[in-house]
Amino acid sequence: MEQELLNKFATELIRVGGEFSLASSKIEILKIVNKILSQKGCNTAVLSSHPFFDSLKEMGKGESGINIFTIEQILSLAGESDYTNLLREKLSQTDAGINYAEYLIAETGSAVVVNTQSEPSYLSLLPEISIIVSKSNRVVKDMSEALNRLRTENLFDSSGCITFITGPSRTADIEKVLITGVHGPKKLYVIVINF
Amino acid sequence: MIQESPAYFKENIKQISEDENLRRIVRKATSLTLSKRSDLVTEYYSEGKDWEALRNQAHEIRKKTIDNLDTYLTDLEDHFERNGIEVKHAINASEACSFVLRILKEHNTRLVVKSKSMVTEEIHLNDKMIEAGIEVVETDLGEYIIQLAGETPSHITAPAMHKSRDDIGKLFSEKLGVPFTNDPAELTAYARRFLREKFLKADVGISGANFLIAETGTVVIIENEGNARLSTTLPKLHIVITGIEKVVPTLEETATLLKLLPVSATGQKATSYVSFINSPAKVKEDARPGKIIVILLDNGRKEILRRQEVREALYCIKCGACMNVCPVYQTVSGHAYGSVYPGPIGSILTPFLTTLKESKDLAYGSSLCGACSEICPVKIDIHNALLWIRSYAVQKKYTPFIERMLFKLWRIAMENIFVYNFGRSLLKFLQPLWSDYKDFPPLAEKSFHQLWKEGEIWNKNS
Ligand code: SF4
Repeated sequence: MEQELLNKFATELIRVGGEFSLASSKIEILKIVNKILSQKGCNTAVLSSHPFFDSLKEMGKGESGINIFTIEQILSLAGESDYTNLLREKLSQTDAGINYAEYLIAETGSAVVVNTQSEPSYLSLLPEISIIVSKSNRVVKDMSEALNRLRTENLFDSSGCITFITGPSRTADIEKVLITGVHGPKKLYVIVINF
Repeated sequence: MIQESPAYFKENIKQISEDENLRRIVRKATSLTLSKRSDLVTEYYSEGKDWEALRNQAHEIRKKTIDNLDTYLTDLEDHFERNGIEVKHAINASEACSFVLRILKEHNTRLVVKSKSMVTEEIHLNDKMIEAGIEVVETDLGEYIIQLAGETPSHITAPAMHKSRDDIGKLFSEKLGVPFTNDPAELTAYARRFLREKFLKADVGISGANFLIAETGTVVIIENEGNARLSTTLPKLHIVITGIEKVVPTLEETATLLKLLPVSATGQKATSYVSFINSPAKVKEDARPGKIIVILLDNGRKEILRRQEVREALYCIKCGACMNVCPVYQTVSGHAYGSVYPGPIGSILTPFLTTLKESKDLAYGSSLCGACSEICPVKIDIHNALLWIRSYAVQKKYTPFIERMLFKLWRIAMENIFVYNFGRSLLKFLQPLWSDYKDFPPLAEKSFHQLWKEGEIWNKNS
């Protein structure tokens, strides 16, 4: 069942222009992230401070010469100055943002990101590349199930803003020609770790 | 010049009918969207799911909501307040605009970024803000294009549908000073660059809402570009302006509508982004607006609610499918209607946003084929509502005197065989005067009535 849902998710994600990869361990997540970043010629990335990434904080450092900041680091960097401004500035200059998704939705190929302090909304929005990581046992059937689970796990009411992300930012406003990356990311990668 | 008033519907059509290029672009765009939609519906069935059942479910949800609108609005307001979202009620357009202007002034606003909102078009908010000296930037690509062109949207989900890539290329090079290109990717990249700068500088973000969830006090916004997310997260203040009919009782019911809306609107299973906004930021580390204000607009909606015959129009979730499928819309395109809401649903809403007298012609811009009702994801009986508006306009004597007289004569003729036969004998002379645009087949030598009398019908059948 879980496998079926995961396959469906991958199919739908690819259909909307996203890219899918499977990681067998947290270390492998690192490798995939590094591969994406170096393939895309990225120099900087910002990582969410979601507890999921705790053990990966030092991730990739030195390995590929890519600078990875965490949200926490930006926060402490800000000190007494305006944090929001610094965050915007950093994220505007960053090539990639790395998020954690609470759920993945099989029917639509969507990732459910709960925006919090450790994962501010524009982490998945300002950089041109968005990388979203989640676990294979977090794939749900459809939007109804995602919303229900968010509620029962007390994530819905406790969060100021939740976003369902389905593929990269897109528009078809000029003669219905599909263009990605209009205001948000041009590229979306989802990495799922086998759990 | 196309007039921005429904009173000029007929004149506008005449003018637009000469523009073959426009018709070509609009037909191509609408039919592309329709075919993407129908592919998904077919796929839906092939996965063993029932699209029709989903539509019925959505209809029931909308019916329940609109029939008990007051209850759900109270519920919504309670939960908004609990979540720290401020709520204001605006009776009409001018009240809504003055609320917004007052708020902007209080916050010393210089730059507003807007994400696509038909309600703000309905109340002509941009003009008011600009008059007050505030810089206003539309950030949805389609809206940005028409803002640069100084036009209004021609479709509720694809506002710049009427523009060709050449039109847009010329517009960008003229207004933004960039080298001419008609490549959609390059044009989009220009817009991204110009608008990104505005997003980062904006003081206030203004958006509409697709749904307002009563049980949780949530604003739901659906989009593809990411501009709504940027407009509603980067500035320090977020103002939501939306109609009172947008409320949905529960999260579960919102999920049902979320399945139908993108398929019907753009032929997508899900749009790139669906945002559920529950509350303003409580601490600065949240990096979202510290204040959210929702303005709930009536502006004629309660009047629609009172009219049983058209009440269903409030079920509308603004997908635009009835426009895409309408043979009249495909031919005349959005601007002809002279209203913010064009097409079949617009022809029901507009009389209540303006007056029936000036907009009654819209209801006649329909072949009553029923394609709109057939495609509507919430199963609004659109064509029957249009029929009712026609009859109401006749009742109110809003139709031309000569037309009313002709129908009176028609009635007399239909009720009396002698008058009818006499009238028929005149038809030969009247027929050529009937229309400038149509060639009618010649009339039969003998009428059915005559043939019957002479027994010929009987003979043929036996
Ligand atoms: S009336 Fe129905 S088809 Fe038309 S825009 Fe509204 S929901 Fe869509």
